[in-house]
Amino acid sequence: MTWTGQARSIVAFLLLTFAASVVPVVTHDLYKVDVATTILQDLILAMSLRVVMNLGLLNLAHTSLMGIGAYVSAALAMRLGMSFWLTLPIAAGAAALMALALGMLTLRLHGPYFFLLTFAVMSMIQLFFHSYLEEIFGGATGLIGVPRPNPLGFGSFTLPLVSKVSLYYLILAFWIAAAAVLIRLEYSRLGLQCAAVKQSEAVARSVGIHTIRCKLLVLSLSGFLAGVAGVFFAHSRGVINSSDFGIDPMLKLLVYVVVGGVSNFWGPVVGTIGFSVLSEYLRSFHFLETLMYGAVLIAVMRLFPEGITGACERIFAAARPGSVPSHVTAGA
Amino acid sequence: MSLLALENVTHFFGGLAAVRNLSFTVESGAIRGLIGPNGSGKSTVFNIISGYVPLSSGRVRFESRDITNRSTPSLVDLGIARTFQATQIFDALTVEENVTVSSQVIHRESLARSFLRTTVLDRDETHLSARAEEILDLVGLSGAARRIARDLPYRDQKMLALANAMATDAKLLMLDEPMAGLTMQETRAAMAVVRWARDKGTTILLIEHDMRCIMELCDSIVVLDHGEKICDGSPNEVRRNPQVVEIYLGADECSR
Repeated sequence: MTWTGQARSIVAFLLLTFAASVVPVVTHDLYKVDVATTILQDLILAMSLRVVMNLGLLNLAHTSLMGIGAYVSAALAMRLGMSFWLTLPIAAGAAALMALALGMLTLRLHGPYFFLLTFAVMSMIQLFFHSYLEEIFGGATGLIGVPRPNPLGFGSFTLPLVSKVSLYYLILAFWIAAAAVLIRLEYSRLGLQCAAVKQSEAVARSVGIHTIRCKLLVLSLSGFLAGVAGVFFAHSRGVINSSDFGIDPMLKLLVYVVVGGVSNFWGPVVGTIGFSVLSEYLRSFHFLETLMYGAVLIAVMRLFPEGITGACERIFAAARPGSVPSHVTAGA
Repeated sequence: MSLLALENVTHFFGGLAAVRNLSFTVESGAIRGLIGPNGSGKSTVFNIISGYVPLSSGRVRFESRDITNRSTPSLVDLGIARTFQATQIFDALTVEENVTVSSQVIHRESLARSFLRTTVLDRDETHLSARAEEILDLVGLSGAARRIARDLPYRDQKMLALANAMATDAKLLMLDEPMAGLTMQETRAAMAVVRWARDKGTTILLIEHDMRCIMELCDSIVVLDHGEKICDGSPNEVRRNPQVVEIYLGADECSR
């Protein structure tokens, strides 16, 4: 929202990009690279979920949109033999279209109704992939043997995308693109309009903001990015099943975003990385993992209802009384 | 030619007619008052014109165009802006952000442009900011441009709501009790802002309970009671109308 905020976000973005790009250099442990790959993929999902939640829309169909990206891309690659680089935009576009349709269906609803309807849509999409068009989507078994992304070729030079490390750099590239778009959105005039819609839809309309259009756009963009994550998920794992896109991964994602903080751009990043690393350390304790997960969630919600980043913001603001953030049009 | 015309407008809340068969016009460049006791339907009239509640029957015309039941944002695009009785601003945004996001310059640009344009190094932004500054200066908020809106004192929040409505570049500005809760001195300042807007060519429709202020500001006044128009005329005519004196002014004078 603020120019200094944008500058800070760009610095954070560059630092994170650098840190992420040296992960496979620092560690040769392929398991760790695998974990980092999942984190980056979850980051795309969590950050794109956050922009929608930041408009006051709790979209429980977010992982379903990811599922559409995954299934459409996998089916096109397996049934029609299409290249990954062709299925990627088609499948992500399909997820964006689904998000748009979902928005048109539900956006005049508010509060719990939007949330309940997206829940219903999520169940329907999961059921669809589970039980219908079995010859295309594999039914209850799902799709097995989704091909790896086709090698990237520039003339005589080709880059195979088969090894874990190369897949890691592929998702890193996707994350960089997604984060760049979302940062642009956050600090653009459109982002300011979204912030106004979040504050009060009635007032936003009274000053002429086309609130529905604004929400549809953000929802579609969010769906597109979820679709990209889904495409990567399908082709990097090689196996997908409708349960990969059900309520469990959705709740996990929701916890990442809420615990990290919805109102701050970096909230979902803090939540996703924090929880992912924590659950890796707790993995050896099996049942304790879920227990600790719940305990952390309760603790954070009790102590910082606005999430970890929200609490940090509050502490910083209190430490500098009278200080006010500078502004979008500061340079004008 | 009248800027705004209501023709036999009726609105029902369930079985209750909040506004019944109401017709009046607002002439271009005028300050028009809309008064009546509490519950007489004034705010409902505002909600109808600004597209917040649908009409049960009747028509609303703006610049002789039929605008009945159009959406609020599209009405703002046409040039109709409003404030609310309970002050409504974007609490968590700064004063400057409030005015910026309310500005028509932003709404008229394409979504792609508003997404791609950097917010700072942009020539339009200079223009926008100059306009925002002029408005903020006028309502006495230029010194508070970087403050978060919710931290402002009550008076300033009211002024910010007024500034937001003005930033939309409206031809018709509908103000719902802009003076409510202000001190005498603050009311004077608010009145000066309303006059300034009118002198800039903005037409004003004003709901206000402060009779002195209404009588002083308005060129003509519509009086509502139980959702029906009981009087329409100059401040002097309204003051002398026995029905108005009985149901409204009389009671108001007695309570003072």
